Formats: sequence, structure tokens, C-alpha cells
Amino acid sequence: MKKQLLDVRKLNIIVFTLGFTYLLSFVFEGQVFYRHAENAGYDGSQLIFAVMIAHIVGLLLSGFIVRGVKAAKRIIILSNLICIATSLPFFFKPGIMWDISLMIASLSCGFAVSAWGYFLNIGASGNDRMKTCADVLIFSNLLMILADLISANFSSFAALSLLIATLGLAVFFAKYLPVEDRNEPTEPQNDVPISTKWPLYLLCLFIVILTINSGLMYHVINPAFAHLTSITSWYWSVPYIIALIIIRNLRVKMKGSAFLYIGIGMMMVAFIFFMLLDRSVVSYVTVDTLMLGACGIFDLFWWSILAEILAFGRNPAKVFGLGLAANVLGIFVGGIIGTVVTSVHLPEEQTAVIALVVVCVTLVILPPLNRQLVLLLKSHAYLAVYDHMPKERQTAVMNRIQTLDPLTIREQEVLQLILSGKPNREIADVLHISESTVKTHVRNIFSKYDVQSRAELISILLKNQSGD
Amino acid sequence: MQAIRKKRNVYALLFALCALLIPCFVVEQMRETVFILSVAGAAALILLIHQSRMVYNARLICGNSILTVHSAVLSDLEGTEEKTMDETIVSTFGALVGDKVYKWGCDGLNGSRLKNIEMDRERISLTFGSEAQTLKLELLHGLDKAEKVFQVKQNLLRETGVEAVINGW
Repeated sequence: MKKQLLDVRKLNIIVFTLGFTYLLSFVFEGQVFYRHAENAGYDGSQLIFAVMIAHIVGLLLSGFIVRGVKAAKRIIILSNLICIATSLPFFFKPGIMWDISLMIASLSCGFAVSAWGYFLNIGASGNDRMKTCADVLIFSNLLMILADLISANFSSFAALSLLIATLGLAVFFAKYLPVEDRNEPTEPQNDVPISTKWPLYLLCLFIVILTINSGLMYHVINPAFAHLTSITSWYWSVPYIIALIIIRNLRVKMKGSAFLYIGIGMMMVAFIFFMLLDRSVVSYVTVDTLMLGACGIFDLFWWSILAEILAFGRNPAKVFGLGLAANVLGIFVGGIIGTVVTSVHLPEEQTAVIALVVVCVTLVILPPLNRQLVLLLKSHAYLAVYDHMPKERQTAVMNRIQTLDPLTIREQEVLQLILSGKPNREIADVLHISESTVKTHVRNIFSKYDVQSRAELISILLKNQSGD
Repeated sequence: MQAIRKKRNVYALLFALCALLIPCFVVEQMRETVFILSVAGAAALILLIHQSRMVYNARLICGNSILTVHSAVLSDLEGTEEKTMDETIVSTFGALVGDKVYKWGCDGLNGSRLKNIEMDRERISLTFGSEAQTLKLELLHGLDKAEKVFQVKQNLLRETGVEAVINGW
């Protein structure tokens, strides 16, 4: 058995951060790539949409090919090696090899990112999963800023070399990823299938709508400030990172849908400011802070929901791949809208108004969609499993779950009803207590099981059940 | 409960008053008055939110009442005592002593929790608190039958998970 280099969570963060940095800085509309292409006299923008499609294909295909943790580890190592190989032609003159390499790298990155879904599940549970996602996004964006600064102020070759080095390190650390899966989702022992289908599809729709704004931003807002090269090379992701750090460190009960609405408000104000302000540095800082801050909120919001669904899926690579493919699709659609709007050569004010209308439409759809998603996650598929068990088995399973503190008799009654899929109001009716009393009991139960949601509670339950 | 609700209503009234007056003074362009009223309105809003939470907690305590008595002695571990003749409600989620709310078992493992219950022929004492502070609430329970005492003990165990130590019965 291999010696453990770091704890699993840290290892996960390092491996994914390093790979993700390459994706953000180079393959996926990365500033390093654009600068490198510009220096070599190559029009990099022509391949944007093809690269996105290749990435989506990689994300989706990975779920069908990767089966199990061992395969996921192999795919991550192999994909990173392929990315190193496909980066080498960029040290030579541009040509068809650049196009082919970029497509293959994008496809490989898709495979690697999806496969990581298996590892996000290991070594982290509940709020830790959200923190892992936040850490990956924070560190990869910091490294991306470093690479951008090197390419802007020093040399794009040096930045590319740095990115190849990150890939090499990703391969090195990936070798230490554990293959014995302590937390792998297991097939349920009863006849009721655990379906994550509807919550996942709804989440994907949610992600697509949410990220249309990011795509639009790339094509409408970014070009308007392209002349501010020095500040855009480093400030671009700073508000995004700050937003992630703030949300990551908030207390669990403060991380709710309220943040989504704050993000929506910030996004709308950013587009309004974009219309009203001039194209100075101050305006850029204002618009970018609001816009990227909102993006940070949005991204962590859907990443954490995706990570939660991941705990129940039989194939994390498929679930993760589908969620991230929805993200790329949203950027793709936003990009197409942005390209169409800018290609008709309307005055900038009119372009901004059209963009604002699109943003408003997407943002109006989000709250009801979020409400549906929350309802589905609370009471849909996962709870059905428990409901179909015999009563004695339910009690046995419940007693097997270890709590941080013993449940009171009243809490046990409430838990029984939670697990049978009843909403708070119905629990209150059954037990003849008020709904706020039920809510308080539920909060206490979650605290004693160290979980944040009903879905997570069921996840623990199912793992116990499979051990029966 | 009534006192808490009354306070909440006063803050709500103050806030509403400020909110109504501010636009009038804005029209009149009386900036200083608008500023003072804005500060007062903001303060009233903060107090209103705080008091609304108190009302919520008080309602939670009243809705899950286990024992109601008419006098209480509150002390901390250093022996500082505070006596009151207000109505006191002991419940699953805390105690309501007059217009004061003492919570336990509301915020999971991290919040204040009920630690110990002792009952003798006259008094019931409840020790509760968080890691930072522990308080003791002593009440004259007024129960004269062993049957009633054991019923209270059962209810406390069922609702709070803490088994009362009974002496002298």
C-alpha cells in the first residue's frame, strides 16, 4: 500500500486545482492562450465554440467510460499527461496542430474534471464538500491570476511553461489519490431505485440559465474594457475570489437561497452600471466587482448543490460531468447571444440594453427554479427509499446511525417522520405541535447528525442500510 | 409574553412613524431632520428585528410548555442571584421568566443546552448554558403529589433528553 502523502481532502484540492488552473488559463477562453495566440499572430477566437463543444463532449463521455475510483484516477492522470503533450505544439509556429491540440486538450480536460467527481465524494462530507469546491475555485483562480500576470508582463511562453508544470504536479499528486473508496455510494439493497434524475436535470437547467450571464459578460462587457490591459490582467478574478472566500467562511445556516438573491441583485446592478458609467478604470472596478462577485456566489451555489447530489448518485463522474456540461452550455449559449448582439454592430448603449434584458429574463426565472430545486432535494427521490422499508427495519437503520449526541424521544419521533418524506407542516399535524417547533427539532437533529439537509441525512441512512 | 409583544409593537410603531415622516421631510428638503429620522428609523428597525426574534422564541417556549410557576430565582455559577415573582414557563426550548427569554436546545449542539435538572419537595432547579456561561434557574414548583412530579420528570425526559434527579419524594 502506498504511503499517504496528504489527507485526502487536501490531495483532492491540490490535484483538481492544478488541473483546473490549466483549463481556466489556457484551454477555456484563457487569457494566457489569447495572449500567446495574439503574439504568434493566430486568431484564437475562431475556435472558442468548437473548444466548448469538445469540452462538453469530454464531460459527458467521461461518465460512460469511468466506472469506479480506480478508473477515475487513471483517467485523471492520463488526461493531464495528454494535456501536457498537447501543450507542446504551442511552443512552435501556429498551424493546424494548434487547432487539433486545443480540441484534444479541451476534450481531455472534460474527462479529467468529470472523473474528479469520484474524489470529491471521498474524504469530505456535508459542509466540507462545499468548502472543497470553494478551495478549488479559489486556488485555481489565484494561480490563473499568476499565469495571466506572467503572460502579460513577462512572456506567454513562460506562462505556458508554468501551466505545463502545474499539469506535471497534478499528475504527481494524482498518483497518491486513494483508490480504496471509503465513501463510495453503494447500490441500495432494496427494490426502490434511488433516482437523482429529476433533481439533477432541474439543477442542470438552473446552471444553464445562471451561466448564460457569464457567457454574455465575456462577449459584451469584457471587450468594452479591453483597452485597460494592466488592470484587467490581475483584477478580473479578484472579486470572484473574495466572494468565494466570504461564502466559504460563513456559518452553515447563513448559506442559503438568500445569497442567490443577493447575487441576482449584484448582477442586475452591474449591467445597469455598465450602461450608465464610462469606460474608465473606476467603472471597470465597479462593474467587475459586482459582476464577478455575483459569479462567485452563483458558482459556489450550484457547485455545492451538485456536490450534494453527487453523494447519492451511483456514478459521480456522470453526475459531475452533467452539471459542469450544463455550466459550459450556459456559457456557450450566452456567448452565442453575445456574439449575435455584437455582430450586428449596434451602438454600445443598445447592445448593453439588450444584454440587460437577457440578464433580467434569466434572473427572473431563477428564483422559482431554485424553489422547485429545493423542494425536490428535500422531499423527492431519496426519501422514497426509506418510506418503502418495513417499520422494524426503519427503526434498526435509524438506531445504527451514530449521532454526536443522543436524540430525545421527541426528536426520534420527528426524525421518523422526516425520513418518511413528510414536510414540516405534516409532521406538525401528526405530532400536534406547531410548525416552528418542528423546525427547531429538525435543526437540532441535523446538528446531532452533523448534516445540513434532509438529503444528506438520507445519504447517511442509506450507507448504514447497505451495511446491514 | 405580553410585555415582549408590547415592546415589539412599540418598536414597529416607531419604525413605521420614521418611515412615514422621512418622505415628508425629504419633500421639504429638511436634510438634518431626515438624517436624524433615518438614524432613529434604523435603530428602531434593529430593535424591531431583535424583539421579533424574542417574540418568536417566547412563542416557541409557550407552545411547548412543560411546567408553569409563579416565582423564580436565577443565579450564575459565581452565586449572583436575581429573584423574580413573574410567571415562569419551563419548556422544551427554554424558560420564559416575565419578559426574559432563556433558551436551551434551540440551536443544536453549539447553542445553549439544558445540562441538569434537580427536583425536591419544594423546588426544581435547572442548570443550562453554553461552554462560555452556565446559569441556574430555581423555581418553586408548587407540586404536591408524587404522581405529578413524576409526570413532569417524564415530560422533561421525553422533550429535552435530560433525566431529572428527584430528591425527597
